[in-house]
Amino acid sequence: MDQEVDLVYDTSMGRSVTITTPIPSLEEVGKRLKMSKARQQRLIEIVRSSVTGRFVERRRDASVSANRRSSNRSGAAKGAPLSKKSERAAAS
Amino acid sequence: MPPLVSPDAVFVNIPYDEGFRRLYLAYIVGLTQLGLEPRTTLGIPGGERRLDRILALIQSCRYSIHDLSRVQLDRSSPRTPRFNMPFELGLTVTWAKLNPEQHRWFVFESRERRVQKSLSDLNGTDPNIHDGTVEGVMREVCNAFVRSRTARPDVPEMIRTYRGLSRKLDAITAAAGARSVFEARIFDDLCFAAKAAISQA
Repeated sequence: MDQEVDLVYDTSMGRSVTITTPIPSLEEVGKRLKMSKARQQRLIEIVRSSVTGRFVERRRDASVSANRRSSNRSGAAKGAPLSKKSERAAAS
Repeated sequence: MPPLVSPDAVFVNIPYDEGFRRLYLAYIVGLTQLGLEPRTTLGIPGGERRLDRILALIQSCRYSIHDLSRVQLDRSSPRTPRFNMPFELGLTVTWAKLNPEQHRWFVFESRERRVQKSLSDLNGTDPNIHDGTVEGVMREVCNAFVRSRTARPDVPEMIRTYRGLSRKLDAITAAAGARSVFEARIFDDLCFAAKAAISQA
């Protein structure tokens, strides 16, 4: 009886299997998921956008400032007005 | 009449809770990077036919991963462990026993030798131990599913995709108007977004 139980696991639970099917393209994945082109495009834009989200920076004086990465940072470089806190930090 | 078996589909049997969010994303990225198609029960509504639909989902997948790492009691009263994962593993083992050519299943755990205690019926089999980490999930997914050398992604590649996608997770969830990543629509979005991130790299 124990022998039979072992056989069940040996034949269906594997340590590894070899995958030989082709890797699908992005278009094929979208089609399989029955996703509209507009929704696909929206997701592609999110994935490829340079703004990656907010992060919180804790400074030595324990004040907390939230910034945006990448694009907002470049916006500041183009002459966007500094906040009062940033002005004080720049002055010091 | 069982549904047609999709040769790339992997039924991913995992807990749906915030504590598992990182590993959930790791499974999606890892399997997608291997060219496989993760499927879950997230899109299956409750009700009388839920069990039939879960069985049909298992039958439609060539492979399955059963993550048995969530053995703790939950926080809400009455405190209970989650039985869904071992139950669905039981359904799968029965299906695979009756149709050994159509289904292969894998058990994943986070700790060595724990499954021998929590589910001793599996004694004699070797689960894939992922240590409860993103890297561990990817390593074990790569150990379970092997591609030819030319098409084989490596774990660092997967980690890069994971990091890129995890930074977009809130944006993807917000764009869909969802409250949690454990919703059917977000699952589809994440599978597509993972593929888009891989294609971009």
